[in-house]
Amino acid sequence: MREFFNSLRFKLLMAALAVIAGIMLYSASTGGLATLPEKMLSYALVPFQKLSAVISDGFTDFFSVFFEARENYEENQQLKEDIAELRRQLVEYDNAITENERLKEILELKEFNPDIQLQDAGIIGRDPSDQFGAFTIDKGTIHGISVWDPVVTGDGLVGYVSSVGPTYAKITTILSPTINVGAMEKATKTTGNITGSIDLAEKGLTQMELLPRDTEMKEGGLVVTAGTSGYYPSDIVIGTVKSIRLSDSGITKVAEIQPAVDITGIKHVFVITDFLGKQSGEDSVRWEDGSSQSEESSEERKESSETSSEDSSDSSSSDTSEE
Amino acid sequence: MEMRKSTRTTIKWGLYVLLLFFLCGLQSAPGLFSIWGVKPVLVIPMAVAVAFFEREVATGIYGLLAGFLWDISAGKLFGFYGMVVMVCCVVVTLLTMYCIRVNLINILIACLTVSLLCGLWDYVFYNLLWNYEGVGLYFWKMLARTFYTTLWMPPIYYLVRWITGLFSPSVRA
Repeated sequence: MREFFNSLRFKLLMAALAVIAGIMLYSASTGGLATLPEKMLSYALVPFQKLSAVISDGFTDFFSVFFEARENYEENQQLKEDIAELRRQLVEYDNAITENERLKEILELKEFNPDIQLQDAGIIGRDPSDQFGAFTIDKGTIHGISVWDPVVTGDGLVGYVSSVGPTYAKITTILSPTINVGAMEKATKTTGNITGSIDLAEKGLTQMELLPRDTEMKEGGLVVTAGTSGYYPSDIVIGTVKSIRLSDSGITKVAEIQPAVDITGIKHVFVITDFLGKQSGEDSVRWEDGSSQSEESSEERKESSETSSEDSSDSSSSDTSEE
Repeated sequence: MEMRKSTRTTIKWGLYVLLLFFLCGLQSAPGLFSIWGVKPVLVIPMAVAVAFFEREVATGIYGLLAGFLWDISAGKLFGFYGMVVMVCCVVVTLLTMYCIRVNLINILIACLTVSLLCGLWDYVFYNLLWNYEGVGLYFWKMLARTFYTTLWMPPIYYLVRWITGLFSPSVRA
């Protein structure tokens, strides 16, 4: 080994080291700029690095399935939980949107009738044999609903609560002949009575009867509740006038009304549980002219009329006897 | 037809250089051979393996080339690793020629030593001198890289030995 350190080979290696040291100093002084040997070597090295990267990608892609199986499994489980959570949030989001729309409807209703108390309800059943659009809602007495309560949507009047249980209620709509709602046409202030008929219900229409023969109501007029009976708040939109004709009696006129609400298509409604000026539901349905008609009242009138007729016959017989 | 000695030598060294470029590409491939973030430096076993079978000037130049390639792929100052790898390869060749046998144990010790020296060289001049935070953690990672690099020595050694046996009349043993 001693002769190596005295040989030319050792001196050549020392010279090479000195050159390398010089190259390093030069490279450091240029602030990292590549020297010529470095550039030449990098040109030769880059293709090999690209080739190795391709090999590496193929290698890792193939074996990552096995090496990362556990991580992939855990990530998969976590993602499933995240998806379930997102689905739950999506349902909540949809519910929030629906509730938002319904609250907007409430707001619109309350703008015109700030005193009304509303209970929202969902329609849970429609009788297929009913041709007047009657339906059942999912709220009842425990939610503050009682018979005769008006039922509305943000678009307008739907009907009234005809019977109620603890957690459900049946609604009779304005297409039914059994309903009677005091109404008024906004432009001409013409008053009348909203009630349904079978032939109009087929077309989704209702009618406004007992209109004065000289009424100036026109087609397209807006019809709202009059609010004088105490069973419906005032200014609840009922619909628009579709056509006007003379009634069968020839004394009054009848208007066909296009309801503002799509009676057969609605899914949610609001029940007006209270409003300023509300009458008790124990009395009969009152028309806007103050007269009343109900089964009970008609029986009472019948009894009273029979009683009065008996009284009159007794008095006449007594008169006769006196005579 | 027998090849001339110069032709054999040229082909042999051509293969050595190609293999060196290929291994340098492999060591810098993203994610390849990585175990918990530790990757081997494949040019060191290659340079040390060649140092066991060739003469000192040739292995010195070959070690210098290996170090240069490592400098380029690692983004270090050009010549930083070249200098130390060159010196180590010359020392290994001299030891092989005059002191030690060519066997697997000596080869593993040589690779471990060269790898450790290169790692300490980098640790001192690129980390300790600048007083970086977490420099202790880097030291342990450097040690892990050293041992992982040494694990690659046997296959590379036998490959170089095979190439040498193909193109040289005799193999140092």
